[in-house]
Order: sequence, then structure tokens, then C-alpha cells
Amino acid sequence: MADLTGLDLAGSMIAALLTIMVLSYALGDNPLFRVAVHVFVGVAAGYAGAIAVRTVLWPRLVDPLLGEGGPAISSVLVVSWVLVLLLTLKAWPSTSAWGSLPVALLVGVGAALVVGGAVTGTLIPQSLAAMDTLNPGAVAPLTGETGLERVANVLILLIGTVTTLAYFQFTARRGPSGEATRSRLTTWVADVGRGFIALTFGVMYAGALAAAMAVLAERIQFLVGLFFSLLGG
Amino acid sequence: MPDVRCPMCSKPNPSDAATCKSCGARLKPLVPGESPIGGALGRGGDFLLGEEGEPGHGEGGADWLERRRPAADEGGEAEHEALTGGADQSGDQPDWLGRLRPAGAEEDEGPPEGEVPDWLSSGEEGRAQAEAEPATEVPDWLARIRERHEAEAQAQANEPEPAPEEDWLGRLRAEELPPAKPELPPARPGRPPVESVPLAMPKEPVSRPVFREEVFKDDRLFPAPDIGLEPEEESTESPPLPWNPPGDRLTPSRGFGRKPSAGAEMAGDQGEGEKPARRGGLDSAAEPAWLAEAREQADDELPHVPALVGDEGSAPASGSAADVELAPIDLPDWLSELKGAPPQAKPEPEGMGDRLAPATLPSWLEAMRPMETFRPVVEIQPEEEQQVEAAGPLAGLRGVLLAEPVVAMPHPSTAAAARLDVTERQFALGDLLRRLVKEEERESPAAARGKRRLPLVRWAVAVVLILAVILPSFVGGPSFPVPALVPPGLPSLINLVNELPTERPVLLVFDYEPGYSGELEAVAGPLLEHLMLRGLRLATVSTRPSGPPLAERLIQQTGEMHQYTNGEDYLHLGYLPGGPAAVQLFAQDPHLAVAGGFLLPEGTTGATIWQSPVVRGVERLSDFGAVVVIAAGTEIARTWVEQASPMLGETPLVMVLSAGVEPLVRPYYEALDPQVDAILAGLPAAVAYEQANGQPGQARTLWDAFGSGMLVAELSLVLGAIYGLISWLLRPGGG
Repeated sequence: MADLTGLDLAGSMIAALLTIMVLSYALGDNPLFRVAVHVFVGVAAGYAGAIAVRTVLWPRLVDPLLGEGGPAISSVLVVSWVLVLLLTLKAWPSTSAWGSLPVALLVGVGAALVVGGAVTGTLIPQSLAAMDTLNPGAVAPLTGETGLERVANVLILLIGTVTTLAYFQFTARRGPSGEATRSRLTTWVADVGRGFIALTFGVMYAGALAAAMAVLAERIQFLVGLFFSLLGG
Repeated sequence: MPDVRCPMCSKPNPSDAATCKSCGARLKPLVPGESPIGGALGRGGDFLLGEEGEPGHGEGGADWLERRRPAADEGGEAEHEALTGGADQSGDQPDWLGRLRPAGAEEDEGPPEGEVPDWLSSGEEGRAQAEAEPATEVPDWLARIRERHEAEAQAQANEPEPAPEEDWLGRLRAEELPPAKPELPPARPGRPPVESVPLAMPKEPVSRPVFREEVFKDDRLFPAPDIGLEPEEESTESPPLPWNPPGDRLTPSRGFGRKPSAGAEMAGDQGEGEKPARRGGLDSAAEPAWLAEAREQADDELPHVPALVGDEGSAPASGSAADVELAPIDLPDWLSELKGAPPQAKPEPEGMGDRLAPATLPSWLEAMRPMETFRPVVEIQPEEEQQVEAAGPLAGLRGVLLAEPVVAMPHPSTAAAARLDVTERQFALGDLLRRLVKEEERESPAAARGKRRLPLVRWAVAVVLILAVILPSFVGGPSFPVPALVPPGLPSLINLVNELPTERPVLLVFDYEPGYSGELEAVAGPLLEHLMLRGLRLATVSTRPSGPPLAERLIQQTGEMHQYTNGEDYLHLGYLPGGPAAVQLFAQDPHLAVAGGFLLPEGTTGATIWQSPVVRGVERLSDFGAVVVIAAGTEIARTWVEQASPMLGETPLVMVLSAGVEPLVRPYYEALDPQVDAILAGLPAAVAYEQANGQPGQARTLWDAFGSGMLVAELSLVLGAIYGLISWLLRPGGG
């Protein structure tokens, strides 16, 4: 950051200003923070729109029509234009119903992909992983764990999975007093599962805190470096 | 001669034929006074009339009987004796009928023997012919009746004579009933036994006439009475007659099949001293005492509510007429009881004769009547305002109840009028719902603006954290040593990168927001450095619009030292719109998914991007040497694992993650069949990677500040936990 000139200096100054405005939230909610948030949201939305037009809409919808050898009309192009026009009708309440077709197409395809991928890519493989072998002679292919260490890890993984699932089992019998109560065994297993859940949340919180601390350190170093650059400049 | 067609079967018959040769129907109408040739009536009347005592015997109108007599004589003297019963001394009638007359009624009661009564006559035509007979041909029985009437008229000269009745039955009712009553014939088997009913018949047993089969041969004229008697069998009981004589018609209880009521006996025990009194045009002499009392009581108390209103101008029909009709009839017990309990009503006031009296309902019926809404609708109007029914079977009647209020007009349903059965639990839940709704409707009072307290604790923590992060940069300390332990999985990642083929490009996926660039650039930096050290070509792509600029920024920062140039050493494939669908499409066909690229070098467009030397030869996702996903969120990492890993083949999938995401992605890495081949997450792993590369980078620059800040954060957490524990212990009841 020693050689800041021209546009880089302006950009660094704006970045430093926005960083300070965001850090002002430590004093409480204030206009500086809100202005910074609005700037970020607006810039992100505008940039995303510009990218979508420049890298998606123009090359896929307009370039084929303006090609040097004449319009290269294909069925994909026609369908794409129809869907785009229908989606444009969403802008007006009177015609918004016509825009439901492309929206339905997007939602349906997206949902199908997500569900299918979750079943084949997460549910089945992770269920099989929870039923890993307890053979001490087995060796983990990537971590290289083996022997008692690996067996302990497999047991912890199995117990954690079962007890966590048991915690989310809300079926209970109704007692004489009319209240639904779990059995003692189910309650104990669910308590263990709750411990695993708390541990997982703790790890995730620690990771989020570490990530935030890394970002804070980077921002503070940016400000300190800019400060020294300006002083040394 | 023209043929005569049968009125029954329409087949032609000779004109002189008396009966149809096909169906046996009579071709000539039967007229009283005429001689049905060979007709069944002639034979049927034989047993009623006797041989010599028939009316009109020897006269011109009874020659059919003359023709029939030889046939009867041929039947045998014994049979004739049985028929006549040896009581033919009078020469006019059979003995059993002769005994009936002095006991029960006068001999002129009933229709004349040998003649068909009105109800048997074939119609107006026959009656007209009978009336057309000359007056000189008055039969004997009629002459005797006239003589007796003349005698009675002289005896009862002072008594008001009721209006003469044309019907002989009306005259009979004025006569005294016989004191003796014959017994009914035994009940037919299979029917409930009927007690003997005292009838106005003689007590001594009468011989029953012997029936001959031809009497009932023509059942169209004389349907066989169902009396359960067998022919050729004598009985001491009254004979079943094809038509009821007048005395029997006064006591029709026999047809009811029930025990006669007391009223029947009362009707038969009418004393002679009772004077006949006309009421409603009918004789009340035969009216029983109980009925007279009931009528008097009803007249005093009951207004009759006629069901239908008669013609305009006519007085409402009096119920006495119907009562009188039933008066001389022997009623069964149940009917007598009903008659004996007339409804209570008040006499009709003056001037209300043309209006309907209000109906009175019993209390239990009034209580259950769900007709509140109908009351104003079906209000009974005065007769002159009531409409005359125009159609249907009630056409022409006034005051007909309208069907519209019941059928067409809306009214509360009577089917779902049952009370709702609610359990305590349902009631409690309903009450809870009611309270929730009421709570939502309640306007909450504005919270009292208390004294604003300064967030001193938050400020103190913020100041301490910022100082902890700033101090290493300004002062140079405190210094934190680099991790002595290499994170698990880092060696395998380093080996994986070292083994990547140099002829195949590495795909870098920049799927994180700019806010995470401070961390992820520091974490991904060592890996990118390692790739550049090996001289691998790099292709970038992103499913976020902000991804390509972040890729350019990181590669510029890292590749500056390695002299990586756009279009030769790296290439930005650009933005993939569509989220998971774009990942799926890119995994299947990268050429189809990539549209335009980002910051493409001169001479390279979206159409020719795959002709770039960086990605030349790449047709599928597995053609890349490795796929490195730099992600700050769990969802995008899982999306690449789920959608792209099946298409990778032997191409390794490396995850560069934020520290908070690693716990949720690590299961994909530690499985026996791993879907993720390497993970690089968090600043400590990045510092260790830099140490392994032998070139400290941005991670190491941040390490001291990061360490100091984490120390302050951990101390803050510990202090906060101690403060919370002390507060809980000092709280009343907490310890």
C-alpha cells in the first residue's frame, strides 16, 4: 500500500470511510452505519444487474440476433425470449399472472434439482458414513486415521448421529395426567443428542468468531496501512 | 240382423244373444223390474225371494222368474225345502227372512225382494227405466209401506215431521231398533275372533239358505262375499248376504272385525220414548247418548277449524254433519274413545264465523316447534283475503296452505340443529384461541420510555477488541507463534496439489460475497500461491455476480509475483446464472453453461472462450485437473458437492472454506467414500500452508492481530460466563 496514486487512492479512501462507517455500529445504530449499508446494498444490486445484462442477457439474447451472418434463430432462443417477455409482465399487476409461468419453471426446476441432489449427494452418502465399520484395521482414506483413534471417531459419529436424531423425535405417550412425556431412555438419549447439538453450535460459533476476527484484523490492518501511507505519502 | 258387440270384449254376437259367447258378459243392461233372461241376477234373486212370494209374481215384469221356477223345481224338492227352510207359509219370502222382519225391522225394511237395490243397479239408465214404470204397477211391499206410513202419520200428527227423505235408509233410522240382536256368524279361520255382536236381528237361530253354485257363477254381478262359509252347509247364525239388509247396514261393526263398542249397544238400545230429533238434516234418533253429550260439549267448547274453506259465501262446514254420519254406526272401542274425547275449544264468538279460529297446540309441541321464522310468513288471513288455488288437485279451494314458505323461502336448517358436543380439551383449546385472537386485537400500550442507558459494556468490549487488533500493527506485538501442529488434512492437500497434472487447468470457483474476502483471500492465498508455483493454468467461475471481480482481485494480488497474465495463465469464465441449475449444467456441459466470461483478453469472446489456451481441451468437468471451491457458506459448498461431484470422476474436489463453515462440510471429507478430497479452512490452516510453501503471505500478516483479537474475545467470553454465574448465584433463589 505504499504506492497509492490516482484512482487507487480514491478507492482506498472510500473503502476506509465505509469501513469506519460500518465499525461505528459498535457505538450503536447510527446514520453512518445505515448509509454504509444502503450503499453496499445498492452497489451490489446495481453491479449484479450490470453483470447479468453484460454477461448473460446480451450475449445470449441479443448477440444471436445481431450476428454478422444474420440472426441465428434457434428454438432455444425463441423459448428464451418468450420466457423473458412473460417474466417482464410481472412488473404490472394486471399482467403479472402471465409471469407466473417462467417463475413456476424456475422454482420447479430448482426444487427438483435441490431435492434430487440432497438425496443422492447428502442423505444416502452421509447415512452410509454414519454406519462406518468398527474394524480397527480399517484406515480412513484421507485422514489416515486407523486403529483405536478411528474406532473412537466412528463411535462418536454414530452416537452423535443417533442421539441428535433422537432429540428431534417428538413422539411421546400421553400420561394419566394428560401430558405427553417421553420415556426415561428416550429422555436420556435426547439429552445426549442435545449435548452434541450444543457442541456443534459452539464449534460453528467459534468458526464464525474466528472468521469475523480475521476480517476485523484485515480491516484494521487496511486502515492502519492507509493511515501510514497517507502520513508517509 | 246386425251383430251386437260385447261391451267387455268387443266381439260381435248375435243381436238376440243375452250374453257374450266369448266372454259370457251380459249384452243387455240389467234393469230392475225387467227380466234378465237367464241372468245371474234372476237366479241370484231366487234365494232372496222365494218361489211364490216374490214381488210382482204373476205380473208382467216378473216373467223371468216364471221361467226360472221350473228349473228350481227340477233341482229337487229337498233342495227347495232347504232353500225355503220350510217357512214359506207366508208365501212371500223365505222363512229366515220372515223371522228377521218381525224381530228386527218391519217387513218393509230394505229394498224390495226381487229388485236390485240402488247400489246394485247398473247406472242411471236402469234407474231411469225403473222410474219410468207406471204408478199402477206399485208392488205390494211398497203398498204396505205406504199404508203403514199413513197410519204413522195419523198417530204422530202433532209431532213435527222432518223433511222427507228420499232414501229408504233415512226412514229406517227414524224407526225403532229391535230389542233383540242376532249373533254374528263365526269368524273365518285365520282371523282374530270376533265376539258376538248384538245386532238388530232376531235371537232365535235362523236357518241359513242353501246356496247353489250358480248363484255366484257370474261373479261380476255378485262377487263372492268373503264370509268363510261353505256352501251346502247349514248354520244357525245369520246368513251372509250379498248385500246388507237395512238392519245390517245399521250395524256395520261386523265389517270392522273388532269388538263392537258400547256405542253399538247404545244404538241398539234406543228407547222408544226417545223422540227423533233432526240435526244437520239427519235423524238423530239413532244417535247414541254419548255422542249427543259429546256434541253438546263440543258445541259449548270447541270451535271447529275446517281444514279447507268451501265455496265463497257458504258457511263453514259444521262438524255435526260428519258426526251424525257416524252416529248410527257401531264403532269399535278405539274409535269410540276418540269420539268420546272431543277437543276442547271455545264457542265461536259473534262475527268470527268466517274466520279461522286460532289453533291450539299442546305445550310439548309448542316447545319443539322450530317454526319461529314461519310465523309471520304463514299468517292466516281472513277468508276473503285468501287466494283461491289455481292449479293442482286443490284447484278452486280457498285458504290452501302455501307451499312456498316451506319450500322456497330461506329458513334455518333443521338438520343441524343439534347441540355441539364439545369436550373439555376442545373447550380449552377454543378458549386459548379466543384469548389469542383477543390479545392480537388488543392495542398494546406504548412502552414507557425509560432512562436510556449507555451501552458501556459493548463499548468497552469494542474498544478492547480494536486495541487488541491494532496494537500488533503499531507496536509489533504481542507476537503469536505460528501453529506447531499442522491441521489434519493439510498434508494430503499439499500432496494433492503437488500431484496435479500441469497440462490440465484448475477450476477455481469463487462463491463468496465481498464481505468474506478479508478472510477467504487470506485462506485461499496459500493454495493459489502453491498452484502458481507449480505453474498450473487457472480458470475461474462463479455463481454470484460479484464472484468474477473477487477472482480477478485475488489472482492479481497473488499472481503479480508469479507474472500470471489474463488469457495466458488464467481466464475468467464469468458468472453462471441459475444457482444449483447452473452448477448442474456446468457439470454436464461447461461449454453450454458459460455465456460470456469476464475481463476476457482481446480477441477472445464468449463464443471463442473455449478456444483460449487456458481451457483448451476442456469438454467436461472431469477434464479439469482439480476443482477448487472457495465458499463462505454451507449451502453453496453442499450445492457443488451434490451437483458436481457425480460428474467429477477422478478430478479432485477441494474446499476452501470460511472457519464457520468447516464443521458442516467436514463429514463429506472424512467418510470412507469421501466426496470432498481436501479442505482448507480458517486462518490457522492458511498460516500453516504458507509455512509449508516457505513464503509467508497475507495470512501470516494477519496472524498476530488475529491471535490478539481471539485472545481478547476468549477472555471476554470467560469474563462474561463468570459474571453470569455470579449473577445467577447472587440472585434470590438462584443458588
